[in-house]
Amino acid sequence: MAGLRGRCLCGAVRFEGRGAPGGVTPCHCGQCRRWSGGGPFMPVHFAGGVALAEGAALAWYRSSETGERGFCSHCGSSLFWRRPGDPGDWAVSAAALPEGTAHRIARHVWVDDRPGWYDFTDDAPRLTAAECLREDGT
Amino acid sequence: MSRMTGRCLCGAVRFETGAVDEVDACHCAICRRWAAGPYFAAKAEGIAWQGTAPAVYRSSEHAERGFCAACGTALFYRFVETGETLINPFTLDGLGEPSFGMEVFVDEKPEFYAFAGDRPRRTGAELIAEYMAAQGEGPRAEEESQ
Repeated sequence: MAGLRGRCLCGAVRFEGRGAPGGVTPCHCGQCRRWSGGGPFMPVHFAGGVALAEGAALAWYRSSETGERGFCSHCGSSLFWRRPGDPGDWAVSAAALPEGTAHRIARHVWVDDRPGWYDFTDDAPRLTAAECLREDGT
Repeated sequence: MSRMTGRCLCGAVRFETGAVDEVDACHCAICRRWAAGPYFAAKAEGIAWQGTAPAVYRSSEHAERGFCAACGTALFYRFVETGETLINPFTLDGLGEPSFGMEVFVDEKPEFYAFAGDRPRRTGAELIAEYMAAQGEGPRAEEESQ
């Protein structure tokens, strides 16, 4: 039952990731970069999903037809991305988890939206927006 | 100098600022937790806010962070004493291809990612020492508020 615990910067939002976390999937799309300020949004998924421990400060913003973004309304930490209303299969900011939880990049997504002035050194697969959408079947 | 415009994801917060042509990245644990990745930061001068005022969170004794209360967009890191503001450059319209100037707090960077290219890379201690030398006094180490 005990999962991996994560939180926002101020601690008002706390959650638990259940099951094994996957590799990090940096998303380079313009929405993720504008929203998170972290360049790419760098999340992981958990095999058993996510459960909130303290969620009163968690706010969601519907950023597109297919997604909404969760953040702490008190400190502004960028925390989650999910399909609208999805109960637990959320993309979770790797940096909200204990240091060392994230240890590899699985793949980069929406790389055709990435500006040319930054790049990463790893050789993980790089998927374009079209490739991501095809894989999602949307 | 030409001005640039910017906005959050939902458009509730908008602003104008002096031109930005250089961007730095901070790998410290606080920035990463707040920004879901290293925080990209661009020194912005003469910011004029429009629309809804940003929400502000005091993240340490000497700094605060601004975000849009409606959509959560990370907008800025600001030194409380000086008002010096480092904006999220991806909120700017028409940012183009700025130079990627420096990476800081590299001693807090996790090993699983690294940015390609050569540029100055500073540990937290090195950055603070440089700041102290430039200011003639030292900033306090940033501490999480809880």
